[in-house]
Amino acid sequence: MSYVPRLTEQTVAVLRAMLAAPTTPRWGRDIANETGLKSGTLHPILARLEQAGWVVSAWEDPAEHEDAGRPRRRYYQFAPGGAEAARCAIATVVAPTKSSPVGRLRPQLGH
Amino acid sequence: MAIDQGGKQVSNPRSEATNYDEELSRIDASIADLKNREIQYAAERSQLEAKIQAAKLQRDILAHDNSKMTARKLSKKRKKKKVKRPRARAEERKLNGLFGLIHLMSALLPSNLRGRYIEEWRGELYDMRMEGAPWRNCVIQVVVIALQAVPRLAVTLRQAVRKTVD
Repeated sequence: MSYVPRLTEQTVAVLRAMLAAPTTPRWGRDIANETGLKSGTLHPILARLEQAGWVVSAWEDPAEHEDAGRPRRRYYQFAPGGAEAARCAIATVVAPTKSSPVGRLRPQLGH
Repeated sequence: MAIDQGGKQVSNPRSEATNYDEELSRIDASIADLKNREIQYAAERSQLEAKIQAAKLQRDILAHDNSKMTARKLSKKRKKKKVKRPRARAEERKLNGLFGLIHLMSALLPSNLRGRYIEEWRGELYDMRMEGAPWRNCVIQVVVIALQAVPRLAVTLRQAVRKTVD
């Protein structure tokens, strides 16, 4: 299933953080630290991005976390074509706010 | 040695006797000298043995003191650790107890994804602890996950399921 997820400010922040290194897998806490989002906000966003097919997730290699002696991490990474879709979506979200005249139209006082 | 008329060398018994006397006296002298040396060496040897004994004794005393000091240091460290461990364990136990709240709330999540998110949050809490976050912050994090993250995620995931069904 693929649809365009709701692009809130927080979603854009998550996408931007992930787009900084699109091929690098990132785990939840890592993204949360970078974006400053809480777990309560971050995980629903990641779930939406996953459902949209932009992001895929996978558990880390057992050898890595067993060597480090910690619980395994869930890594999130852009799906093929996900990074491009995210870039386009961010561009469409950001562009109207810059160029749209709607924001500049204000009623003149005294009329 | 004497020389006869034909030019041959002939041994002289008198001169040989004087030569042996000299030789014997020289050997006696050298024996006496060697004995003297032996006595000196024996005296030196006994002195060295005494010195070695004294050094060994000193070494034993120092080694004993050293082992005592290291044992004391180790016991101090152990004592410190003993003080920390129960507290850390108690905190871990409390954290695990609080994590039960997440388990309870995770009943809201779709059953196939419940385990995954619980494990993910457990990992996050572990990372927090490793980063040196105070225990209080971890508790707050658990409460936030249980009361905010789980319901929000449940809504998101169930909405998605509904969309796929529609």
